[in-house]
Amino acid sequence: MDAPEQSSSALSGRAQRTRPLVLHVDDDAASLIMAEGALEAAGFDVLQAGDGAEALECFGEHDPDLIIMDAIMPVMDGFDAIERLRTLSNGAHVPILMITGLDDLDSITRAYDVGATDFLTKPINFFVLPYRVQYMLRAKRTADELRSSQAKLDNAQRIARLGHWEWRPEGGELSWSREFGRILGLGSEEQAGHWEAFIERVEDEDREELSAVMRRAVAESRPTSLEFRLGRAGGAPRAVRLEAEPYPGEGERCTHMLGTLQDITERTDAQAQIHNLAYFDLVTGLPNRAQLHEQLRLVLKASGRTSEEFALLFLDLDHFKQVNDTLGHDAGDELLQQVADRLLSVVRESDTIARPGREMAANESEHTGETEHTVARLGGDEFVVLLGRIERAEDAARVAQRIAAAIGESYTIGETEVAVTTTIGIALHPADGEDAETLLKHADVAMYHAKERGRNGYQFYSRGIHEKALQRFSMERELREGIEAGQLRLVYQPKVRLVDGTVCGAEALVRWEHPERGEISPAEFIPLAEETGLVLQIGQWVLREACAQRQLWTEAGKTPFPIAINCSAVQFTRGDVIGDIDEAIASSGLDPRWLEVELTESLLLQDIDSGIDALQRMKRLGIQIAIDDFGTGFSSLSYLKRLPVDKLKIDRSFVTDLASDSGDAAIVSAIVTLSSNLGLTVVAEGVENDEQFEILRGYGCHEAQGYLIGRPMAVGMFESWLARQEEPRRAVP
Amino acid sequence: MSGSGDTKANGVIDCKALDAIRALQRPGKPDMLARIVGLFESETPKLVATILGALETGDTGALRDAAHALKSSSAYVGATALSTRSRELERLAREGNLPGCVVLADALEDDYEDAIAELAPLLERAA
Repeated sequence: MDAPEQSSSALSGRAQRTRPLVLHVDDDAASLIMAEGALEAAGFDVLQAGDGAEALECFGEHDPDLIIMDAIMPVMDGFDAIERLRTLSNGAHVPILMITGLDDLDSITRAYDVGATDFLTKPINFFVLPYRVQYMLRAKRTADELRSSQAKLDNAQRIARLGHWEWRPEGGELSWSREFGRILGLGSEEQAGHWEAFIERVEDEDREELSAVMRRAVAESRPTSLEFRLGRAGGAPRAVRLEAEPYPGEGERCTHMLGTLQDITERTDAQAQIHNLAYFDLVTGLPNRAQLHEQLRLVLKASGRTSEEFALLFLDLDHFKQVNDTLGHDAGDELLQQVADRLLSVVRESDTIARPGREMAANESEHTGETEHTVARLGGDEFVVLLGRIERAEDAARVAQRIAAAIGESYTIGETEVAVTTTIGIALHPADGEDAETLLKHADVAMYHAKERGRNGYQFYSRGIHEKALQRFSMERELREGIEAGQLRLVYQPKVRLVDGTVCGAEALVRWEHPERGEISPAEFIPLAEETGLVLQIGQWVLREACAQRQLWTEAGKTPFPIAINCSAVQFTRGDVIGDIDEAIASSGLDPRWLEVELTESLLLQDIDSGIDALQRMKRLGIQIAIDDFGTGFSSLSYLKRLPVDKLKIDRSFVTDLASDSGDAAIVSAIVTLSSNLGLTVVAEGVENDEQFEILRGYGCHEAQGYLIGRPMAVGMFESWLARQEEPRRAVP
Repeated sequence: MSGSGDTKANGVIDCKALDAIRALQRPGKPDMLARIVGLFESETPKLVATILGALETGDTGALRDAAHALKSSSAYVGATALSTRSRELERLAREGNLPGCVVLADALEDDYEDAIAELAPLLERAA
């Protein structure tokens, strides 16, 4: 065969050539000669090859603009050659004209399968050939331009992180550009799918809104836009902005929408960063003055609705300047960071401790807790703690004490041990001010007063509040010491059966014998004990003491009757009252049926289901359960039958005017009747005279307790009382 | 075969094919018709020899390829009968019909002789 001829212009690359270069591959020399004549006359340069292998070699060397390829050739046929050409980087798009036999339909099909652009049948019409080649080159240029503009569009979209899409709402078909796919984290091959599949990629919180917005845009056939977030498998969600409009020319009815989707994650991140810079302190990461004002605004707004108290603690570090001056500003910053950490942890711990006994009600709270507490740095060594929702001034004082203690602990800065203290001023809303400026100013003033009285302390803005808080603290300290010093003791108030006046029980009541102030009643110290959590210790002591005493009486051969103790709500919510009971029974060796626990109905009704559950666990211990102060709370009779209780104690307020108030009489009568029907024992409290006693007996009430029968008595007196009660009985037989 | 054309009425060469080759001639370039006919004259005996040899050895593959080549080259010079015969031979070879090929080959040799006889003067004239 002829060796491939070279024309001079073929030496340069595709782009530089003035005449297009055609590679003609054929094993028939006559065909090569005639085609060369026809093509050169039409303005092409021609390269020739005798088989597929030669063609590949020639292609690699000269990069022709078009290939004419005979099908059947020795060495390597045209089909193999095309297949290999298409895998080359510059061979993917080169137009290839396949020459096949006129009657060879299989070859035509195969030619297209392996990647031929067009075909021509033998014998070749050499007049037509140049026109065909020209046409193919023109089509190639158009395709190149299209590819290039597609590539430019892809690039522009990639740079702008903006993809486009088209959507047919009726069928839900969605098609999209490469960048749209990239934003969604799809493969670049995927270019079409379903609208629903796209919607599923939207973050849960945003999905419904996007659907609604798009539905409206379609219904009203008008443009729309929305910013939302896309979830990405294995990656952080992307913030995106979607623009949509009806296809141009769409009439009233919108059947086709198109739009863009832009990845705006970086922009929104930057905005968040700007916000952080504006509202947070760079050294400590705490909210700054601006953010504190914002928080105060929110809390003031909320407290206006609920009229709740909150406290503002203003504090600075004593001798901070010395640290800065001696150790340098970096050390100073480090100290501020550690102080910030300690403030945050104190405030976090204070969240529940400041409000004992409120956890049970917490789920009913309308507050979200978002604006509860804030620690902010005002600048320099000044910090502000905003305590949202405090019950009483002492809560704020308690937090201030903890802050002072935490900050007073030593710091390690680098290699150096550093000690600082803090002085705290407290202003309360609404007592000390009703707006942010006044409160901050008064907290600041209070801090200066505290400093005048010596550093490392706290001071309320209001002197009266300060004194009251101090008093309560000293009482708390005394109670704590009193418990340890054994200043608590139990007194016993008897209960008798109304039918025959015999003893049927005793209620153990706690007393605090203060060394200076004498006996203090539970009404005075129990609320404080509940606030501070000391009631847990007291409750355990009462249980142990009562069980032990009852066991002593049993061992001494006294008439067995149950001994009742009272149980506080705090013991339920923060303690393990069932465990305490179990332990007291076990350690005393008492038969559990001689222990009775009195609970108020309000305690049980806070959460009826967990209340029932707790009662059932108590019952399993074998003890008796009484509902105390019945009639004063919600008094839901319908709940009574669900509660596994043994006794009801009618509140004294119904008993007092029993003789004169027909309403009270009716209530008591009804409670007795109903409870008896439910199999409950009814106890009347506060029975003080014979008239009440007789009326109650007339109603069929089972037991009575009150001054008429006996006051609460110390052990010795109670034992004497008991002995007197039992005398006549011993005399009778 | 061809009943028309400006050559002899009983000629085996289609003059239109030759006219088509002449039309490709460009001024100053070697005589196109002479080159094509020359190639036909020099290459065809080899192809015929290949065909006959393949018939003897029963190599239908070689037979098919040679017939395929002869089909095109004869068509370009207007040897229509030879081209048609070659196409038939290619088909039978592909089907493996060796006896059919033997019968056709005889006629093909005759077609070849006729075509060469008619084309030779052209070559002499050109030379």
